[in-house]
Amino acid sequence: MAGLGNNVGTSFDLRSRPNGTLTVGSQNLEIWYFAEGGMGPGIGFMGDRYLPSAHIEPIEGQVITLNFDNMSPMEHTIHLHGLDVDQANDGVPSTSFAVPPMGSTTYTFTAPHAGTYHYHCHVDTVLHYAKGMYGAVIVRPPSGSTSEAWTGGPTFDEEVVWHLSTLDTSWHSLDASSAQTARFHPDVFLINGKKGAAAKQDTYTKVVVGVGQTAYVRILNTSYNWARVSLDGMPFQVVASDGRPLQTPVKVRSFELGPGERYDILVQPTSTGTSLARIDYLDDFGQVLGSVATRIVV
Amino acid sequence: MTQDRISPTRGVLATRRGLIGGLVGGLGAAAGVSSLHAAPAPSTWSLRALPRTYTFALGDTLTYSRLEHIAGGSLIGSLPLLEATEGQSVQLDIDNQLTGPLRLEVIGVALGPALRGGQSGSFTFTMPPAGTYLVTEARRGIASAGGLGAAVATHPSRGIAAVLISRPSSGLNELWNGGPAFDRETVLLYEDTDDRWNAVLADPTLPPPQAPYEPNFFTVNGLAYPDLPADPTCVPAGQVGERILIRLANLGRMRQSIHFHGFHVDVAARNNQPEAILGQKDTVGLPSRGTVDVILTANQVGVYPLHPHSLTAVTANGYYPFGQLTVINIT
Ligand SMILES: [Cu+2]
Ligand SMILES: [Cu+2]
Repeated sequence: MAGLGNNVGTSFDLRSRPNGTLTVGSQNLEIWYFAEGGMGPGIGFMGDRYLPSAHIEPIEGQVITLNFDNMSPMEHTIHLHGLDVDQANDGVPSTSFAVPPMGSTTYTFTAPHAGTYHYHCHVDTVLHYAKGMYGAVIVRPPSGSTSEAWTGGPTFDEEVVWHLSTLDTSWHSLDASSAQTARFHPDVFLINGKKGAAAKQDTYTKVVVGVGQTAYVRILNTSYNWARVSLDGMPFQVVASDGRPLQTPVKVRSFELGPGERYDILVQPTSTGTSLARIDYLDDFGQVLGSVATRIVV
Repeated sequence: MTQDRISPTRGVLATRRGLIGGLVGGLGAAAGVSSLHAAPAPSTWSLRALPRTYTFALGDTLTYSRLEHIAGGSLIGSLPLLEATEGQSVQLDIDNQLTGPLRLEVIGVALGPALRGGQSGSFTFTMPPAGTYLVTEARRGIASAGGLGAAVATHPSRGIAAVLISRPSSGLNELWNGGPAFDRETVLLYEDTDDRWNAVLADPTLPPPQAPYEPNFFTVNGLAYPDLPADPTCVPAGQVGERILIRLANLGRMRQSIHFHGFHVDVAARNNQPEAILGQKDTVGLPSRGTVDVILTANQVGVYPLHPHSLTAVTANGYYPFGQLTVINIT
């Protein structure tokens, strides 16, 4: 199950770290990120990479505690995007509070309707977000099931989360927003922090599913660009967005999603073979700025 | 979400025309359809267009070409708000106090006369089916499908902007006859500009800038943070249990994706078409020259940010947090 289902619970620990890296060509980009709690340097997504950050899987209807240790020399927060938490737990410095360097806090909230959500730092957000301080929140149904999307919702045999990210490499040496963050010029196009051949074969990104089976793919746009998703022309069903079922599920060959939006799709192949899922990142006119692809192996 | 849709897999897509019993959008087509209701009194609005500056919080001052009411009238932030009932005949008088030409367009509804600098004129049209409409200008470089309608801005706006609300003939607080009801209402019109283009946008006779248009200043209803949440017309507000209609509109060239803290909203209509696919959302796509109407049901107290998630739009020339940041205030 591509590493998902391993972090279901009601209590989570995350810590912010300033010292991640992402190697792009000959450059080592500085990544700020959230790792699972504990000692040692800490790693982000799946304990395998710094970008995106570690994910959590709270259970619908349960009171969740999220302990946050800010193991870094600047203020950060955790904003639970889409979880509709109360003002005190919203993670916005101007309306709730910021966590000081080396400080800690505990966010408390009731996990909402099962589905795909997001968390991220909300301090000097234009830069902290772009430097990698975001991860996925997958809310599991009250049963805790990791094979049913929500109570009475679709069931699945395989499950993958895709963080869609674009980077402007010139921003990764900055420490604060400024005139240098006025315009975002993406030059790296990622899925789950991977590009090129690495994205195509990444264990936590590629979809491996049998004929007659269902893969549930949770797509989270963590970039500042719109993105178009297509699966080599194969039709697929869109069943949920932003943690809620659609009014009417739709069968499409492609769709576009904006920054911060999430869509959940069902991939139900009818024949064997390998195809490519493709993400095109778009400018404001719908022109492709850059692309990344991963494999669907049937 | 925009999609290349093959077919709905469940249910039937309702169309706006089916729901409101034959009121058809477009030039004059709705006249007289609403026969069950007495014909409302005609409305006339008088606007002038003139240069106006706005100073952002860090001291940057930009020049916009703005519309304003000549005498009184509703405002959203610093921009005019026009309201009338669907099917009603209305007149828009315009005094062009700009140095260059101006031609108003109510997107998808009506095109005004071409006015030279210093010239006045007026036009009449029939109020379209109940919904949210954008008033801007028809300009060289803006390609409109069939002259009106699904337009794509290839030229950025210089700030000619207002919102027209068409009220349902029922006279009720509902988006359209029998449509989603609401207790309170806020209109948020998103715009963007690029300071390198500002002088040229104000004076089209100047040579175009070398730089591509990449906006670095962002406003809602003509205001930026912190002016924006300080203006009550720009803050969705109410009490627990109330339904708040938020009309999102975009005359910027940037395609926006608007995030609501604290709440999911029901997407009621996109470009005045009743929404049949999307359910509750916390982040809502808002295309350039488009509108999205959402209903927020206030189910918890507090102050919650409301902002685009393409976060350069929450800056003033890169400095965070300025730009298109307002709040939702529930008591
Ligand atoms: Cu941060
Ligand atoms: Cu967010």
